[in-house]
Amino acid sequence: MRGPVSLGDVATGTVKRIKDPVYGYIELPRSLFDSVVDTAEFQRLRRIVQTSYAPLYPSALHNRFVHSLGVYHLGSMAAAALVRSATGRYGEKAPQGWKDSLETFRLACLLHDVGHAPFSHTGEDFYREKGHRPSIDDELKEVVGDPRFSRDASAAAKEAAPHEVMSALVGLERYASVIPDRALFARCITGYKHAHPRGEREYLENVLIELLNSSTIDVDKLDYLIRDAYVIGFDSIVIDYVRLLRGISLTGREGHPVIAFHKSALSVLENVVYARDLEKEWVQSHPVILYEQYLIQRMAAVVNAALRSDGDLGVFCKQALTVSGIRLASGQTLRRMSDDDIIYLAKQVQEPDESITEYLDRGKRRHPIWKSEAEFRALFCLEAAENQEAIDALAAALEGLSEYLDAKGLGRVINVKTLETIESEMRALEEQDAKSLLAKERDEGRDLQDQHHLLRALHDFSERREIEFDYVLLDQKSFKSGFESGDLGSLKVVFSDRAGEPSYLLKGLLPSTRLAGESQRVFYLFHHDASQGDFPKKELVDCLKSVFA
Amino acid sequence: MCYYIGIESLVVGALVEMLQRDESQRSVSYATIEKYGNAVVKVLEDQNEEAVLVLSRANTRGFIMDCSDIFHVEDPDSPDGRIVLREGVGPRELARRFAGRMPLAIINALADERSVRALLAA
Repeated sequence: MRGPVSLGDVATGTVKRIKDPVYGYIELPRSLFDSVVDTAEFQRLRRIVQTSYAPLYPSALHNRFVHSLGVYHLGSMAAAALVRSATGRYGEKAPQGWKDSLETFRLACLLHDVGHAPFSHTGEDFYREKGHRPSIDDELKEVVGDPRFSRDASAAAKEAAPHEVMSALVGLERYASVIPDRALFARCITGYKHAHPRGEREYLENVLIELLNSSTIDVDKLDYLIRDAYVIGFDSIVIDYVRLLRGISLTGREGHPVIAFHKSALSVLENVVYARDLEKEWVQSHPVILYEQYLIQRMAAVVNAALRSDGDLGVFCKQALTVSGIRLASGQTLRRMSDDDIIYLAKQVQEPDESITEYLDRGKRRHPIWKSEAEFRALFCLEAAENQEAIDALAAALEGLSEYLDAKGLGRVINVKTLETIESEMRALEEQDAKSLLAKERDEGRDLQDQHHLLRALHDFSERREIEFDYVLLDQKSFKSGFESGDLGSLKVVFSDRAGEPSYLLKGLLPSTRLAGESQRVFYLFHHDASQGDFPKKELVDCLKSVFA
Repeated sequence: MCYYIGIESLVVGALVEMLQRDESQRSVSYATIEKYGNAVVKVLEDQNEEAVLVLSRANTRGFIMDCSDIFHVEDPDSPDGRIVLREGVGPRELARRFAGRMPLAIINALADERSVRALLAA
């Protein structure tokens, strides 16, 4: 593996520097531009937006391309720290192939998002849609061609995200000639560690995998936390990434190597968790952003269904990311699919779904009636002590209705059509002669009645107040701090630079600042008139609270 | 319209059908769920409905976590894993808890004789 880049490397032209607003300069070997950075598949990432924060933070237009370069930069810094630590541990006797492992890790950092679907995470669920084609998981196992990788992938406690599997696949197929170790490349991107490492090298590989893909702190998360905060102007927490990454070392006094952070990085570790909590609680969970994601997801589903070339292949597939592309039902060819393509295709849909109209015309969007988890709790839960049963019944009806709408593929719209659908199911159940146990329970149980009761109440309220009976219901799990994560506590910290010194679990070192909370849900209702000052919010809340009182 | 059939519908549908035939049948394997799911999709497709199975491991884990009071998993991270119904829970309790969230078309497809045949043969 290359050592740190020197000024001489830049002067002789073996290295290129890219100006980056977050890190100053990102330096890459010139050869990587020909082999990876300048290729069509990697350049595609310029047209995949990194987040869906733009409706709230209009400058959040950064893309997967700059993020990938950032992850490469941080990965190179982490690799340099590991090399220093490994030199202290092994001297000149580092395990054979270790240099190839480091080079593979750096390439995995650069290419970890090369399979991202348009609009980042919003479109990726379609990658795993059960169809007649082989699953991307099986395809990756075949492309890697290593039974031990296949076994670890099947048995891993945490399944890789669809975009991770796709990135590993595209990376291995497109850039095979420059990747020294195929299985390690796939492991780094998917996070599938060696379940039963054989020898020192595989323990070291597990350290590299964790550096790119872990449930706590890795270079991917580090770049997006720093970069997202920069573009949205959310600068309340500064992450001293240089201090953090220089503090990475190998520990494991008597056993095999595992990753540890030097004591000097402790404050930064805590800041990373705070930064993640803040982004998750105040940005990702903001109802305006949840609604943007909902619109994009609906729009992607409409495009996917409308432009399938046949029953087998949707728009969101590996071929659509490549130069050869796929043929659509409309006769067009879709190549190197990006955000722009989905927007263009959405405009071509013959009978546009309202999600497309709303995405393209912000003036037509619904607005959240309450705007944070705190406001939801204030409106519905604070006085719940005397009315707990009614609030619980309301939450159960909202949850049941959400799941019903999802299963029915109707989107989360609550309007006359939704009410009619429920009422027509009630009639059908009544008329059905032979009923299975599930059908009997659906007919006679309380859930359907409660959902109907809730819809009716919303309908009547809207009619009474002469506002449109037209809402969208979104929900999410209540915010849970990263400090509550058991994985965070299992990170190791060392208090000395000397090799062989003991390490300690972070859990005993940093007091958690928050108590473990219940995983209750938060619900949001959206309405076209909700942004107007005279929207009868209080009355609506009272109406909902009284439904099951 | 496209129906999205999740792991919870299939597990509940399968266990309700199995328990009604034999009270000792209290678990169902991942492999059986997938075969049953494919049959359920076929039933809906024969009615000119589009249907998709949502069976990722993430969904399965989420379902088991949310419903750990009535299910547990044997060998969870292996393809041979089985979802097991806890003692004291019968088909009626299962139906009461889950039927209220399922569209009627899915409920009927779960109990369709072609789906049940595929389930029992798996």
